[in-house]
Amino acid sequence: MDPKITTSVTQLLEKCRGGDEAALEQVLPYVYEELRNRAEGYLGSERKDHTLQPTALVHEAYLRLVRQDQQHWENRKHFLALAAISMRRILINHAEKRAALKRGGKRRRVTLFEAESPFDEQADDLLALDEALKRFEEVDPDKARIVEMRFFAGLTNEEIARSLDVSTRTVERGWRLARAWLRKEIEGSSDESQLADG
Amino acid sequence: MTGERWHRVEGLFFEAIEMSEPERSAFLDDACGDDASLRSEVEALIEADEKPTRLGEPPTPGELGEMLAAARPTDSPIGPGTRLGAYRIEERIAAGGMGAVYRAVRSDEEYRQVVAIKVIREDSVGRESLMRFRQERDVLARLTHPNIARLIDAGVEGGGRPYLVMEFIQGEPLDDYCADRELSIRERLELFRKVCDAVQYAHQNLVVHRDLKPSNILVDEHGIPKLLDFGIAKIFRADDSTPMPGLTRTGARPMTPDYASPEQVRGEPISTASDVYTLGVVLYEILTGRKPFAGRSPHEMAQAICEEDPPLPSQAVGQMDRDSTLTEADGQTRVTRASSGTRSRESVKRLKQALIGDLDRIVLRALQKEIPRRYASAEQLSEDIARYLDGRPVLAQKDSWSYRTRKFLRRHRNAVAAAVLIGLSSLAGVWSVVSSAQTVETQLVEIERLADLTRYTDLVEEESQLWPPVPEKIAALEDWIRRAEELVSRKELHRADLEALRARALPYDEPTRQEDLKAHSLAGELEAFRLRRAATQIRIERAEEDPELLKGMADRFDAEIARLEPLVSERRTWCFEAVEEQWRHDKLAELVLELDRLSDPELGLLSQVRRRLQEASTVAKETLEAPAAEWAAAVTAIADPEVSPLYGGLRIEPQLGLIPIGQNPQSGLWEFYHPMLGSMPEREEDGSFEITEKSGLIFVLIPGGQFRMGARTPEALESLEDPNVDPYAQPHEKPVNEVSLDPFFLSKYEMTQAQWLLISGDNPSFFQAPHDQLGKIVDIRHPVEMVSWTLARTTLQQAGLMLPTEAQWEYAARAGTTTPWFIGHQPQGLDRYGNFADEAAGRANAPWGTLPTSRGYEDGYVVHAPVGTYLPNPWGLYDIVGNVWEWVDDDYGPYLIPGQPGTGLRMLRGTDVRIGRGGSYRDPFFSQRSSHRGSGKAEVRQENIGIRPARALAR
Repeated sequence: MDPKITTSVTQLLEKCRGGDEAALEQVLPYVYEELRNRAEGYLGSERKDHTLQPTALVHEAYLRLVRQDQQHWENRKHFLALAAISMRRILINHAEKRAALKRGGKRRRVTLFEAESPFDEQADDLLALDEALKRFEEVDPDKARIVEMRFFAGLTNEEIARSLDVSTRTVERGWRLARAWLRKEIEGSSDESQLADG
Repeated sequence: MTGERWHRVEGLFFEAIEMSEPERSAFLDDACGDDASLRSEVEALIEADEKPTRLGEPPTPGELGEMLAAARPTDSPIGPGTRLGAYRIEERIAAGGMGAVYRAVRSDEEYRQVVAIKVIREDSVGRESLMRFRQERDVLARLTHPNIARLIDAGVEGGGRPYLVMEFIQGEPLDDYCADRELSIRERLELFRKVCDAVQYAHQNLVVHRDLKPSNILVDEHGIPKLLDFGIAKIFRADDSTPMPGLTRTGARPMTPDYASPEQVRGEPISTASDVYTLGVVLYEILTGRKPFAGRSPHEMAQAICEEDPPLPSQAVGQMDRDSTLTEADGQTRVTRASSGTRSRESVKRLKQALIGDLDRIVLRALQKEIPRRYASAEQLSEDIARYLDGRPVLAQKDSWSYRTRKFLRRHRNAVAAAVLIGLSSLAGVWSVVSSAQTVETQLVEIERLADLTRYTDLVEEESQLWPPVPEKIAALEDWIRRAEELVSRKELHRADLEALRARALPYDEPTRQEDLKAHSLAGELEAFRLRRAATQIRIERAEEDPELLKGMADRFDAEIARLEPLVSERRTWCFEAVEEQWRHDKLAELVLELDRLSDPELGLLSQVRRRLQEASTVAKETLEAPAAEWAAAVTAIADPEVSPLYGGLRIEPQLGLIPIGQNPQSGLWEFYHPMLGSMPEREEDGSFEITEKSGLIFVLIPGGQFRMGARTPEALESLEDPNVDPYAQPHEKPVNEVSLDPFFLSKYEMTQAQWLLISGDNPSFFQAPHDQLGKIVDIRHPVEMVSWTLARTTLQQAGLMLPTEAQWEYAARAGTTTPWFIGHQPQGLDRYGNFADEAAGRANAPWGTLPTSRGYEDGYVVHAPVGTYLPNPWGLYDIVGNVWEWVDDDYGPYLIPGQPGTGLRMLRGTDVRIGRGGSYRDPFFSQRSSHRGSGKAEVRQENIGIRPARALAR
C-alpha cells in the first residue's frame, strides 16, 4: 500500500477523532474502494466453498489503510463503522445485480451449464435482510448499527462495543432484540409454502 | 412506531425473555393490559428470539440463511423406497415450508398408479391441525372436477406425520406455461376461464382454496389446467380458528403474501370472495408478467394490499422484467421472455394497448378491497371475461359515452380518426356556443391523441416483420418510414399539450419530490457510481497505476453520473385533481415518451429502420456489384480443386450480404466479410485479422463432408489412439455416429458485444466495461453473453443468420481430427488455443482457478477474453476452446435419432433443453473437447454462454 494513502487515511481518521464529520466522509471512498477491490474476487466467484469472509477483509483493509505505528483506538473505531457501511453497500449492490438477472426474482432451478451460481440463493436473502434492516433503522438506529457491523463486517461483540462506546452486554442484548425483530420481519413475510412448486 | 412505544416493547422483551413460559404469560397480561397490539408485538419478538440458531460463532452474511432456515424444511427421513400405506415413495419432487411432496406408486396386485404424496412436516402439525385434517379430508375427497387434482387418500404415517395422496399431475405452472408457449392474450384468458370454472365448482361444494397461485395451477401437456391443493391450506393453518389462549397469531399471516386478499392480510375470516380476489392476482400476473404489488418489502406489500389501488395492468406492463416482453406472431399479441433491447421496450406498448380499458377494469374489479365491490363469484368473473372475448360490453365497465365510443373506435380506428379531424375543423365554430362544447371537444381531441398511440403501436408491431434488410423489403421499409415520420412530426404538438396540462398539475411538494428521488430505480446505481468515482480519484492520486487507464475509468464514471443525475432528479410524479385530467396526462406523457424514443437519433426505431432501408437498398450493390471481380475470382478459385482442394470442386454463386476476403493461407479455406454488423477487419501478414470494436463478422466457408460425431470411452485393451476414443467421453456423447454435411458458412469468431449491440441496440452481457479483470478492462470486443437460446435465434434471424447445428459445430471444431481436442490426444498446451479454467483465474480468487484441473494452465484471463485472442483451429476458427459456451440449434437428446440431411439438425418433440458447445472460461480442460456437450433450458441466460453465428450457403 502506498504510504501516502495510509498517511492520508490516518490523518483523516485523526480529524474524525477531533470531531470533524466531513473528514469521515472523505475516508469512506478509500475504505469502500479497498474493500470493493478485495471483495470482487469473492463475489465474482460461483462456488459455495469459496465464501467471502468479511471479517478477514475488514481487518486486512484496516492494516493496509491505517498506519500502524501511530495507532489510536479511536481511529479504528471510526474505521470499523465505515467498513461496515462499505461492506453492506458492496454486498447489496452485488446482490441487486444478481437478483436483477433472475427473472422476476423467482427462484427456479434450471439445468445449467456445468456450474450454478450459489450467490443467487444468497442474493435474495441479503436483499431481504437489507430491506428489513432499513426498516429497523427507522425503529432503532443504534441497534441497526450493531446488525450492520455484525452481519456485513463480521465484527465481534467486543469490537462493536468498543467501536460504539458501549458495553459488550449492551451489544449482546441489542443484537438479540434486533435479531428477533429482523427474523420476525423476514420470516413472517417469506413465502413459506413452496410445496407445489417444481 | 414511536420511540416511546418501541422503548416499551424493548423493555418488556428483555424482561420477558428471562422468564419461564407461565410466568411470562402472567407478566405480559399484567404489563400490556388491554394493549393487544403491544402484547402481540412483544410475543412475536420472543417467538422469533426462541427459534433455534447457531450462536456463539461470528456471523457472516450466511447467517441470515440460518435465520431463515427455521422456515425451511428439515431433512426428511422419507426417501425412495419408503412405504406409506399402499404407496411406495419413488422420489422427492418438491419441498417447502410445510413439508415435502413425493412421487409415489400404488403397486397393488390389480394396478399400478402414480400419485403425488404430500407429507407434512412435524412442526407444522399441531393437535388442532390433526383434527382438522380428519374433518376436511372427507370433504376434499368428494371434489371431482376435471380441472382439480383429486385427493385420493390420506393417512398418518408411523412418525405421526399426516400425508395426503393426490392425483399426480405432470404439468407446468400456469405462468410458465403461458410464457413458455407464448400464448396470446385470448389463449391466456380462455385458459384462465377454466381455472375459474374449477374454483366455482369447489365453491359450490363449500370448499375455499385459500392458496391459489400460478404454482398451484399446473397445465398438463394437453393444455388442461389442474388446480392443486384445494382446501389444504385450511387444514394446516389456524387462520380462521379461534386463537387458543396464549398462542400468538403471527402464524396466521398468509402463506403467500403476493396472492393474499386484504381480508387474509388482516387475519379476517376467509370466504369464497378471497379466492375471487386471488384469481384477480393470478389474472393480473399472467397478463402482465407482474404481481400487482411486486417489488415491495413484505411489510409494504401487506399495507398496499389493504390500502392501495394496484397499478393498472396496462401500466404495469411497462415495468415488466427486461426479459419478459412482447413479440408479435400471426397477428396476435404475445408475451414472451425472449427478447430485450430497444425494440422490445417499444413493443411492450402493444400489450399495454391491448390491456387498456376492459381488461384493466376486469382485473381491477376482481381486486377490489371491499368484498361487495368484487365479482360476486368466480363464475361472474369468468363470464365477464367471456363477454370481453366476444367483444360485448363488460360488467366491469360503466356504460359511459366515452367507453362506448372507445369500444367503437378500437374497431374502426382509422376511419374515425379522419372523421374526427374533419368534424373538429368544420364544426368547432358551431359547438363553441353550446354549453357542453368544451367537454365534447376535449373528448374528441383525446380520441385523436389515442389514435396516435394506436398508430405508434401499429408501427412497432410491424417493425419486427421488416427483417432482414434485403431488396424485397424496400417498399415495406419506405412505407413504414413515411408513417413514422408523420407521427414524429406531431411530437411537439403533443409535447405542448402535455406542458399545458402539467401547468395545471397540483404543486410538487417536498415529500413527493423526496419520494421520487428515493424511489428512482437508478438511485442506488448513482450512489455506487459516485463512490466508485471517488475511489478512482484516490487511485489517480496514488499514482501507482496506469494514469491513462484510470483517467478512462474516471471519465466513464463521470459520464455515468452526468447521465444518471438528471434522470434521478427529474420530476416523475404529476398529480391532478380531476381523474379525467390525470388520465389524459398519463396517456399524453406516455405518447410523448414513446415518440421521443421512436425518434432518438441513435437508438430510436426510426433511425434503425432508416439504416435498414439504407442497407437493403445498397446491399446488392455493395456485396454483389461492387465486388463483382472478387466474387468471380472466388467462385473460380473455390471450384478449382487445384487451388482449393478442400472444397472438392464446389460451385457456388455470389452470396448477397457477403464480400469475399480471400483464401486463408493457413487453412486453405475461403473467408468472407459480413458488412451488416461492422467494418472489414484488417488482415495481418500471417493471415489473421485484427478484431477491433468496430469489426464485423467474418465467415469461413466450411466444405461439405462426412465425419464421425461424438466420442466413446475406450473398451478393454483398446488403444486410446483409435478414432473418437476419449477417456473423458460422457455417456451422452455416444454413440459415435456418421454425419454427412453440406457446405455452410460459420463465423470465424464468437459474436462480439459490439456486433450484438448493432443488431439489437442493447448489450445484455454480464461482464462488460468497466468490469476489470487483473487490470484488463472488458470491452465490446469480448463475446456477447447473457443471451438465451431463444433470443439468440430471433436476433440472428434479423441479420439473416442462424445458429449452427450441433453437427456443424462439431464438424468445424474437429476440422478433420478424430482426437478429443483438435490439438491431439493430450490437453497440454491447450491454453494457447483458448481461455478456460486456469491459474490466472486462481490468482483473482475465482474458484474455477483454484480447482486441481486448472493447474498447469495459464491463459491470462479470469472471465472471457476478446474474441480471437488465442490460436485458431486447423480451419481458422477461433475460441472453439473455451471463452464462452456457444448455443447450437438442436434440441438436447441422445444421438440415436438421425439428423436432418445436409445439416444434421436433430429435433425432439417436447423438450425445451438446448445444447451449448465449446466450454467456457470457467470450465476445465475436459469441457473443451470437440465432442463435449453442455445443456441448458432455452431460456437460460448466463454470463458464460454466447453464440457463434452460422449462415446457409445459398445455392
